[in-house]
Amino acid sequence: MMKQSYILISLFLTIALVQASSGDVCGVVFSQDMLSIFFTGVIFSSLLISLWYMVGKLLDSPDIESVTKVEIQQVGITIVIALILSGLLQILCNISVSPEGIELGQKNALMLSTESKIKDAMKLTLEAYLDMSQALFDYAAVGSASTGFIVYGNAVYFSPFPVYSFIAQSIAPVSKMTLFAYFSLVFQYVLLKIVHSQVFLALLPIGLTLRAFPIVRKFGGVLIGVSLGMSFIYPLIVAIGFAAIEPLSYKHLNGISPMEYLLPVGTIMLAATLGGAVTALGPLVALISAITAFTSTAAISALPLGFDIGLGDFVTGDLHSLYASFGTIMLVAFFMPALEVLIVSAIVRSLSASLGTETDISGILRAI
Amino acid sequence: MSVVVTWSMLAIIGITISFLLSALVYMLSHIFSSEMMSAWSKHEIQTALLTIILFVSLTSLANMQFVKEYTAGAKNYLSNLYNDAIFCQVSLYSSGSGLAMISSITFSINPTIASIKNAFNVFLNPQTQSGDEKKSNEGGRQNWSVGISPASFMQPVLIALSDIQSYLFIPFTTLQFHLQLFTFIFNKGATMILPLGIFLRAFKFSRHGGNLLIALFISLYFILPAMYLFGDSLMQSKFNTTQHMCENYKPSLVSEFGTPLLAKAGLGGPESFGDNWDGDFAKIILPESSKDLIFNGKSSFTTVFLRMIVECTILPMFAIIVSLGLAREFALLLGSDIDFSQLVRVV
Repeated sequence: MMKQSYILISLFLTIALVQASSGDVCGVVFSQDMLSIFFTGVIFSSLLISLWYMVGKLLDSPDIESVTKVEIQQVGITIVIALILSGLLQILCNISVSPEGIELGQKNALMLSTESKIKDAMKLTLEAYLDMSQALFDYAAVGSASTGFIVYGNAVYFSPFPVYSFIAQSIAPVSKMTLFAYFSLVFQYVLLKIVHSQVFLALLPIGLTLRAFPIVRKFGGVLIGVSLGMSFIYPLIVAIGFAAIEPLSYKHLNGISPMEYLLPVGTIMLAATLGGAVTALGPLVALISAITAFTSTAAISALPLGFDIGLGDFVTGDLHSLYASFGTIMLVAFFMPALEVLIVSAIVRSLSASLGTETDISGILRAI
Repeated sequence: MSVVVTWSMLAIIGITISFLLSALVYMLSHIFSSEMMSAWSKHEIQTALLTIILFVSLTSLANMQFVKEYTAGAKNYLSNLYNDAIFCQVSLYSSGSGLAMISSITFSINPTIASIKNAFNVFLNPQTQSGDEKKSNEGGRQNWSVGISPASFMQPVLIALSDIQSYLFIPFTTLQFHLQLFTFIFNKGATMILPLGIFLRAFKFSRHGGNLLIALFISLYFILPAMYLFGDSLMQSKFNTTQHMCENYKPSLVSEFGTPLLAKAGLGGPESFGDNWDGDFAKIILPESSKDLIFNGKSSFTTVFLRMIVECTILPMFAIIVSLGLAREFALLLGSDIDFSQLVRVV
């Protein structure tokens, strides 16, 4: 048993020394110090256990001998974990995910494609927000229009397009939530960047090193579980999430052109004012002009009420686009990240339980 | 040349690797004479066998014709509900727009001080000419105006309508989200989520994640549509199935709220309300019992609003809560205690 473990350690150290020149994991270059710490840790732990075994032999204590056998077995397991991880992570980093399945792609394909997909989602969400804001502005502007007529200084005013104020009121909360969705995606992007930074990735060799020592073995296992889960499994699950809901079905709002609506109203207002002003031509002309202006404006204003004559379809089309786009955004920005974190936290729980102590990281969900 | 490993193939590869690993550990357990390793490998082989049974049975169940039919029925129900809700919103726009326009009419009198003086002079002495006063007020610096909106009594209804309009985005977005979730689950559930769950379940270190995905698949693929159909049956038992949510609704907003408001303002008599009028206009709007209020079969403004809240928000939310609650039970059955409450909060 001891012999086999020592063979394993020697084999590992040979491989590790060969690989020591390249500390590249998923595009992040490890500091050589980190690798040195890991190698030194494993060697130091093996030496300590050997010394303790020797003490056991000298004192003729079977208890010490059996403890050292278990400990050297654990160092062997740590080395097996490190060996498996060194190969597995390289494969994992080069995976690219598509709706059809997974394939081995280019170097660091996983991180690159995941980042670009989150950026695309962020861009689309921001575009949606700006689109909604523009539509909100247009509808509110036309909705606030007011017209009427003036005769001898006395006036009758009314709002011809109040329906657009109602549409603006429908867009406003959706637009606000879209902005929240954008920030949720930004959070996801930042989280991805943080967990794939050099500092966070350093938790993996540190965890492996700590796992080689008996006192901090469980803590080392937790560190391995958390860093593996967050740095490698999380990007993979996010990539699978984006593959599952690809392509993003965002529909642009048609909106309205305020000038199309406000210009006729403005012209009519001008006609009415002119009509009122040219009293020199006689009050009858002014009155006829003003009444014509009023009836023309009333005819235009009747359009928003006439949903059955076509405008209803136009408004409904915009509402369909608004809600359909927001439904997709909710799925991408709120539901999927929550589900992804839940899956990753479940995997981290199993991983950390297998390697050390069970750890729950689902608290990250609260941030979303 | 790169080879694409499909999701189903991935599940099979996962189970195969799990079998091979377990066999390897079993062999090593004999070399090292370790009982612990032997027990571990036996347990893993049992789990892998159970995972195969799960994969085969769930895939077969998902491909059964009756499952496809009832899920299609649930999707139709959701789509029709969404279209109905949009129709209701447009009707609300129509009513609100009419009321807002009437309410916005303002009469404004814009006399000059000079013209008032002139009017007084003419009233007191009809022979007096007022040319001097007219000239003194040129430029309109002393103008003032008085305006009145005679239909402003509609403002309370308009404010209520405006508030309702603002809150309606909740049922609409809820419905749209459910539609998107439904599409996602039925397009990717059996082909992606289940195989991925099976793959993750095959290994000890990712078993909780696999159990979570399998439990979610079972609850969202089989239970969620059943819950929608339950909601559909519940509403159908109380409403005419051919009747849309906002059918016959259009004129009711004015008649329900406008007429009693006019009566309150002293502009309408008891005769407008028939024998029901006893000075309490709420009785005109609200039927006597709460059952009638919600299920009277008539599309009054109140019933439309309540039906929209019940059918478009409460029932879909109930469906999600029940489905995710059952997902937790399924996960427990598979051997993982997963807390879905955070996901329910997000939904």
